[in-house]
Amino acid sequence: MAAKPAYILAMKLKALERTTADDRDYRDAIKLGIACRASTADELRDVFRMFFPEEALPLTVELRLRDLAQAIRKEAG
Amino acid sequence: MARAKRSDFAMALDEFVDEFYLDHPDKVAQQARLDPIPEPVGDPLADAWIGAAGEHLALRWGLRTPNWTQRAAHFALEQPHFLPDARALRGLIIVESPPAFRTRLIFTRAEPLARARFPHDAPRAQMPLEWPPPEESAENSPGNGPG
Repeated sequence: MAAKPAYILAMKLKALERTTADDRDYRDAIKLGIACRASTADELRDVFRMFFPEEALPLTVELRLRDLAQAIRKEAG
Repeated sequence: MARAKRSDFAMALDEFVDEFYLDHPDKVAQQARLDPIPEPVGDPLADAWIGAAGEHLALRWGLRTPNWTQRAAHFALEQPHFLPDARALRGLIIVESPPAFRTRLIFTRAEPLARARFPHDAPRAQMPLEWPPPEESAENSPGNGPG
């Protein structure tokens, strides 16, 4: 059974803590945000908390949420 | 193929780093992975990443820095590159970017090559993001002992 997009988005948000040369986790998170209709920082946090209620997003990820939400809204049109 | 597309290049770099970590703690094997001279890609950013990764892995894991990492092609980036490219993180990564990256105008996190296969027995570089530090760690710091 395929994982739900919301779960993958929550995992991707966690993964934003790491660095890749092409920032692919961020690009994936934009697509997943559109699929999950999560387009504000609060909605992204809600998706994360749904699967990781005991965890807080790392500070460096928190600092990217606003940009991510903007990118999701821009790409979703 | 990895030379033609930046995302393929990033995947290839990640795979290289994974294999490097799988050799841990065999320093001879790790040095043997770093020493072969790569042909420059021709993209200043990709070449800067390759040079930075080669030099950083050597410095980070106590190996000999290969001479090829110092070629001009690996220092050809003319504008700073921020990764992640988030304005909110810019101040942070300017401070914590490791020397092998910052000298090539790449600004990134303190442990830019951390992957799932990063050796579990090795501490990861971290910058303190809280200031002042939590009371407990401040009390335990060397400068605060009885004296």
